[in-house]
Amino acid sequence: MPTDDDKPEAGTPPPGGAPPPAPKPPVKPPDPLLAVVPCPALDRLREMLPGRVGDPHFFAGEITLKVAPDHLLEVCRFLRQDPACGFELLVDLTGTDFPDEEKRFRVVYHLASLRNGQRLRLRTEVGEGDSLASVTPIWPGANWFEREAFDLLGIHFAGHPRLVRILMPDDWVGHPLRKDYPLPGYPEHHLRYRTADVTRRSYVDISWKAAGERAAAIVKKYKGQVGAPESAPHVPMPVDETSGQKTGD
Amino acid sequence: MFRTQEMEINMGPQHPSTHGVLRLKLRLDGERVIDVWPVIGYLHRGIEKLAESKEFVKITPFTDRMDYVCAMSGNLAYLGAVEKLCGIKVPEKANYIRVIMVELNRIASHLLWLGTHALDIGAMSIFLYTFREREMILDLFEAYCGARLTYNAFRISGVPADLPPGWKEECLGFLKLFRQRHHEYEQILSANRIWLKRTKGVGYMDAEQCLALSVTGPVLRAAGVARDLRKDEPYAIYDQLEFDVPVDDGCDTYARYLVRMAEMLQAVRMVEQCLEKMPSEGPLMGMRGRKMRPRKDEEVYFAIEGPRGEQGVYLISDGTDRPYRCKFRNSSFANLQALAPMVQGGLVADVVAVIGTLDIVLGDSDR
Amino acid sequence: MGLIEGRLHPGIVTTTVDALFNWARKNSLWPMTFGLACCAIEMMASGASRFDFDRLGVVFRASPRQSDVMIVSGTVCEKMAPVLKRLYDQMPEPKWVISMGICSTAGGPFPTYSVVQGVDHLVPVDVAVAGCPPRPEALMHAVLRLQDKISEMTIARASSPRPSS
Repeated sequence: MPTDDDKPEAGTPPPGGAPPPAPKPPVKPPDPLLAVVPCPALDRLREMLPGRVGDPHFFAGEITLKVAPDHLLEVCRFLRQDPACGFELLVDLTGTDFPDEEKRFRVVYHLASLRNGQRLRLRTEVGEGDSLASVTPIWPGANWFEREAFDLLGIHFAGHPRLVRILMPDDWVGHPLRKDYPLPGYPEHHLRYRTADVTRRSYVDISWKAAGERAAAIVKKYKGQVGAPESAPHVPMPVDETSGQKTGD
Repeated sequence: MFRTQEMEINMGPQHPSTHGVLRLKLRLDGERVIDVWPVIGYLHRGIEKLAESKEFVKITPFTDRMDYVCAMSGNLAYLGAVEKLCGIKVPEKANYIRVIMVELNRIASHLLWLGTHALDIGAMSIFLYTFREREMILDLFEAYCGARLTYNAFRISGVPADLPPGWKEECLGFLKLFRQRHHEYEQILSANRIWLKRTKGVGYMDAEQCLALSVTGPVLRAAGVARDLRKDEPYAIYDQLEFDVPVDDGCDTYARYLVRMAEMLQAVRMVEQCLEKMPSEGPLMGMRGRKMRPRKDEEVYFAIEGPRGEQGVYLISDGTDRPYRCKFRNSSFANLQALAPMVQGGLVADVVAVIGTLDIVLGDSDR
Repeated sequence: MGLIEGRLHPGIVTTTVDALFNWARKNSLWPMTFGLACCAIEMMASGASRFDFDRLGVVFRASPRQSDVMIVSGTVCEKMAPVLKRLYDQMPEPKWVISMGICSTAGGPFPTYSVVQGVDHLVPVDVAVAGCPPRPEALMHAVLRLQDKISEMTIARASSPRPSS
């Protein structure tokens, strides 16, 4: 909920005196974000596979369904193949690290059905060192999403065709999106590519001001020699003036 | 009699037609591509990790830098997710301005796609033409928010400013000009024999394969599936606008070209309607203050139809003003999976055509 | 302007070798198309219709072997770092580096595990351009400043001097 910065903190007791009579809690209208949305696929799933999925959670018009890792493949296959569900598009697959919980990683699958126009989120949990069944046999597009979850979080997907790193270099150490991985990383791992013999160029001052000064110096140096009127008689320069003249610049 | 040996070729990450830092390991049999293994991650900047340590307000600039060709869409997708998470309503006028900007940026993005795609295939002049029109759109953006590429033009719950005086007339003038120029592009390319030879039947992918590989956007629409989130799950004010969803069932590079060209005209239509219907008065921001207190332990996913496909943001809140997890579901990442099936069996010269037709942005896919 | 000035046929110009070389080098700066991130789009816009870098002699080349400027346009990630180093090594001398944008100059808004905090950890940088991303005009300014810098060069020294020189 958005709140203003300058709003006083609610619930602080007023200074001194007897505690005021407890105000009657106003009857709050139900939060529209928590409204239950109808989903035919969900009813169908709970009818056909009872006990395989938990209670749905509704928030902001979205449905989240908890699935135990053991039942994941069965539920996914049903959702893909059943005509009333028909989730033919795996929109997204990602994981999140919750280091304090018993099962460390939470993996979510965002599904969409084009022909029925509904969306569903499956959520499962997997501990570190355990592996989760890969859904690539059902949705081949899960391939890269699972590789990404493996790369950044270290979640293992059993049955994946080739589970290798995708975003980080192959020889990277650690899984960056874990909460215990520091944001700047471990610089001692990074420095291996950097070569010691990089020398900085000598920086000449190339600001506008310095450029202007250089131009003024050049004009001053060749004053009277450059831009002479063409009608002026051509006078050969005396020979002895060349001594001490510098080259370049 | 004659035996050819398989050859492995490395393409990228520095290659002029991989549109960034994409690397392909190609396995070739003569001119035929047997297999391809895309290597991405050369632009992985850790934006998702960075977002976990930032407040909601401060993440918006990073969304500019993911899909830098269409930064307005990135902004809109992210802000839409935050607004959904916190239950914030956006005023109508702000929604109009957002849609105008996003649709103009869709035109700019498709222009960049057309120019570079044609350049890769060998049509140099169209690149110069499309960039000429793209600069005009960038001038409009610059007049509105001061930036050419990374706009950060929207705020949570609205937009920071009204359209500047004279902007509307300038925009209408551009749209009028653009219709003519669009016709010019079609005259140059649509019946061009070289263009047809290079695009027809190249990079074939039908609807079933597209859906299996999570491919969305114009690639899916060019396979005959009319999936457009602006129609299917309308956000902002798209349900009040009249527009068509261009669909083609050619399933090849030429069909994708036709779909994107038609989309540009639809975007012109939408901007014209928005400029006409937009209320002249009204609030621009839906809330005051900048502290967010979303509900604890909730998660939302919000997606918009970007120029490359479904552009989604998945947020998990832990009750503070920072997201616990911020995952960007970017369409380039998913669409790039379609590269391998599209080029397998084809000629090696068609690989650049397929990369162009997928319209990938590596910042979008690597995040 | 010297010993033989004015004594020769009017069609003959005298100059120094340095001035000749620098004139030739600075007016045909061929950058490599090395697009990394957002700045690459601005680099493309610089080469396209409105800004038209060709009139400065800046012609984008696709191969490091044919180019003498590397415009590092965008975030340099750890995975890209060895590639960038190798491409720089493949360029013939004399060569220069323009670091375009704050990402390649100092890491920019990404103080993260995967981003090299400044491309001058990898290759020597001649001109750094501020901006995120810099406008094409800023890149043009950088090219002009690099031309100024080249006009200061002399072939009596190596083009990549050691810090002591």
